[in-house]
Amino acid sequence: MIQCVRPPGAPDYCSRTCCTNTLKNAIRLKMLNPQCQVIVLYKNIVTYGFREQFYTEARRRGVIFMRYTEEQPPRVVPDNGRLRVHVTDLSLKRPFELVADRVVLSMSIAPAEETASLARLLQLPLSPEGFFMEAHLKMRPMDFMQEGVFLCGMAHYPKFIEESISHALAAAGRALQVLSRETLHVGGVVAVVDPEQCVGCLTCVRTCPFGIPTIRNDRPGVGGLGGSAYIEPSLCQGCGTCTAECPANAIQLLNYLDVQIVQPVQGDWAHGSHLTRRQWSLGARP
Amino acid sequence: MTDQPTLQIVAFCCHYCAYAAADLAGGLRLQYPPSVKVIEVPCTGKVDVLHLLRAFEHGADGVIAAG
Ligand code: SF4
Ligand code: SF4
Repeated sequence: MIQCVRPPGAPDYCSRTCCTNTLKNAIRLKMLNPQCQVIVLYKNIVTYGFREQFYTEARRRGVIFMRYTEEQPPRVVPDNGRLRVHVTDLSLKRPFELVADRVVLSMSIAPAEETASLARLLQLPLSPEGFFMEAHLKMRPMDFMQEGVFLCGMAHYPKFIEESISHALAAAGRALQVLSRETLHVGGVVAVVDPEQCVGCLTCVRTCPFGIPTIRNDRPGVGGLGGSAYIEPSLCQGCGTCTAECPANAIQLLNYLDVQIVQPVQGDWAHGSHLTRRQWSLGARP
Repeated sequence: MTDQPTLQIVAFCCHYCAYAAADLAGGLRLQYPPSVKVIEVPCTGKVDVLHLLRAFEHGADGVIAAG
């Protein structure tokens, strides 16, 4: 059994589950037929947690482990219906030639083929290895930065079935938080367009990093002409970029109105009557 | 230092980084001149040219958008 077999060009990462599965298979072979010789060629055995017991058990049952290096990977050569495996053992620093009836490869687990296109469709981030990337490794492993989209299981990275189940339960819990409510409360910091001032120039549509603003024909713009921009409050992330870019100054970010930002600046500097945004919002005036 | 006029600086600070850093500086009791006026914005993208100009108009000597 050869571990860490990577097709040429595939990214180099540990698929986490192969070592344990190899050991499980090796132990099962030894249980069915103790005479069967099982040799595992590996770079590094990763049997984390209590799976380490499989490693001990496999060695106890006589499975042979040989460590190879990246520089000298094993070579498999067919020979009259059998297979010859050439390998250099790292510990003994000696080449070996093994005759095998079966060679079992542990290939790296690649992301599903549609992952990239689905990510493009839903505008979701991917990790350098091509799996979906969570919002926060420790705090939000089942969430994306985008609201209302959740992930679990092997879409995230190679996982054991029990890890996938825990992850799926967490993702289902998150989805239920949304589905179990009649109405959703969104954060107060959202951008609002004043259609009376909007000229429908598309600047906000192009600058929003989240692609939220749209031009709607059913909302007449300045002078009752054409369409005007609409920002869906439940989607807006409240970054305020569109408000700064709008040439007509038609967008205000609630809680960060222009007047709230500019008024503190207008305080009397020299006499220290500068006010913070919060003080101003609470009614204080310079 | 004391006989130099104090420069009035307006700092527009991103809520997530620069403003949090200023907060942390406060928590660590680090000193910075009181003439630096920190204004929190949700993102430096929110800083409008008009805000910068308005600060200058009202006597600021320098403006910094930190994020
Ligand atoms: S940038 Fe301003 S004027 Fe242009 S479409 Fe958006 S809201 Fe309307
Ligand atoms: S505030 Fe930010 S997220 Fe909201 S519409 Fe404007 S640019 Fe997009």
